[in-house]
Amino acid sequence: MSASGVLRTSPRQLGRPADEPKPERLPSLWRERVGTGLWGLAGIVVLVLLWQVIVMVTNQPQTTLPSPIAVAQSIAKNASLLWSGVLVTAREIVIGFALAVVIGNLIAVLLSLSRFAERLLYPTLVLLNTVPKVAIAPLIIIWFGFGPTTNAILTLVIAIFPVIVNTTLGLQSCGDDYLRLGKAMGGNGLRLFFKIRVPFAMPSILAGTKLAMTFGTTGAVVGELLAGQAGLGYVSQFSAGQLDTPLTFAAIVVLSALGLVLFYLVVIAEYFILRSRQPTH
Amino acid sequence: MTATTLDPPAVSIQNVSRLFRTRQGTTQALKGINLEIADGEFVALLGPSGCGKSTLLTLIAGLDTPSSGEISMYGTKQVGPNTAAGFVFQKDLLLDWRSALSNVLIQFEMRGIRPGKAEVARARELLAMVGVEQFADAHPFQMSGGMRQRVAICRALVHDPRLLLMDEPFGALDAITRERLNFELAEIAARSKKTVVFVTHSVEEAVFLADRVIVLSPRPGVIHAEIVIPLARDQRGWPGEGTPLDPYVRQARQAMDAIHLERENVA
Ligand SMILES: Nc1ncnc2c1ncn2[C@@H]1O[C@H](COP(=O)(O)OP(=O)(O)OP(=O)(O)O)[C@@H](O)[C@H]1O
Ligand SMILES: [Mg+2]
Repeated sequence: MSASGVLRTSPRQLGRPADEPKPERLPSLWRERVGTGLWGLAGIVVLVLLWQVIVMVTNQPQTTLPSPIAVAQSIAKNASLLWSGVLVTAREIVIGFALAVVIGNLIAVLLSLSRFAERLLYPTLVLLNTVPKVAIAPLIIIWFGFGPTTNAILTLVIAIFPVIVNTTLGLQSCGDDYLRLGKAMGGNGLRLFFKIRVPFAMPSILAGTKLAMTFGTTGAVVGELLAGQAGLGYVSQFSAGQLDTPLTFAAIVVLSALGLVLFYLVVIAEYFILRSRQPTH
Repeated sequence: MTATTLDPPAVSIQNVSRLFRTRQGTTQALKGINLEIADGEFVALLGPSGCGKSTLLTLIAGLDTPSSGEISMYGTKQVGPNTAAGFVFQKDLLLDWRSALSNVLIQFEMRGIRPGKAEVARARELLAMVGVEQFADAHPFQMSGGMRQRVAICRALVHDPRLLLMDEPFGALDAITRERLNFELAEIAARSKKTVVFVTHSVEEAVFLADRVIVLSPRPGVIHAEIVIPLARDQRGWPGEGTPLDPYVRQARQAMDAIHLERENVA
């Protein structure tokens, strides 16, 4: 294009209303998406206090309902056991989740390339997505034995469906208008895909990713409960067997914290990816 | 306007029809359209809603294929999208995740050009020209409909296309801004000798801008009237009573009234 464009010397600067306001600041998506977590924390504090009061008033034995203080003591006493459990469980979740995101998105992209494949396979995938997938845990155990591999695979299997379904949906969400716009500007298949369709799909892709993280956490824990030899699910299982209820609670608390941390990592990633867009609510 | 006989026309539309088949039935959006547009000519397409203006413009852009007939650009038959043109769609179609500036620059990116300093400067210049330079870094949801449309216009102009296709680009603007941008467009088109096909509902706008106003009537979309305005485009004032453009406004309005009458008689 010519540097000495014909518009360069335009004497008139027309079409500019005099009193246009300055752009408004971006609404704080951070506060909306991430900051609400602080209120959640406050809620947890209230719940824990209530729990303590109930234990004190009803005078339950430790084996039935240990007090928050007893649970805290158990966490302190079993810190190294719980920490090694965190490492095992987190590893299973992260590996299974990462594989689910990578493979799931790849499958969704391949599906979106072929209308035929999409029509043929997508309904089946939606159907499979609604099946309670923990039910296949025994099968995975038969095929892969006991241990962390099985748990990571279980995570993968459970987490991959929301990824495929949401990414496929997202890639369909781009209106034909926008694709026509891209074509009018000379866009080829690859550019249309990466500069228009994928950004359009991003909110949906990230929604799938969040679901994958929550589902995946469940997957790993179910695996550990059924067939674990390590990990937080395993700790909660055997401690319950020994009637060490404070430790069971401790494992659950640590597991919840782990799940929360992992989930919030995804939420933060979502914040950075979507922060320049309009908040959806 | 006065093309020599040797020059192939910028746009040649020969006996073009377009049928839409839907579950509700078949719509004949356009029927037997013949139209030649010379290089550097400014043509306005005027007509009531649903008469096929957008359809015709989309066909000229090569984003749709005629059911029958043929469209040529500078003598070569149109196959596939005409990427040399600049298209302003009826909807602004800005991308939410991009700033105004970046929405303009996508024109280059889609062509495989990484926008450098020259491209950015050019985009900023256009944004300034339409009066939204302070919104260059804002995102579409922070802009009004009119500002968004102005950004879309910049996007269509940024690669300096020879042919400019505009589908009611000023439809969402207030009257004053609309008039200002009309003057700006008249100047751009005259100075850069762009060929422009401009769709509008507004009789004044059509008469002010165009060398030729094509009036379309609906169901099926056919050319109802053609009004040639032999006045130099860059020296016109806004049409009003007693102005040189007034007779042409009357002519165009009569054509529009005739279409409405016809439709009422049918109904
Ligand atoms: N993709 C489509 N599928 C079916 N029918 C269509 C399609 N596009 C347009 N039509 C029909 O073709 C006719 C002309 O439509 P078009 O959008 O070209 O009208 P228009 O003159 O641009 O109207 P407006 O001024 O309201 O924008 C209408 O009757 C419309 O219903
Ligand atoms: Mg239209």
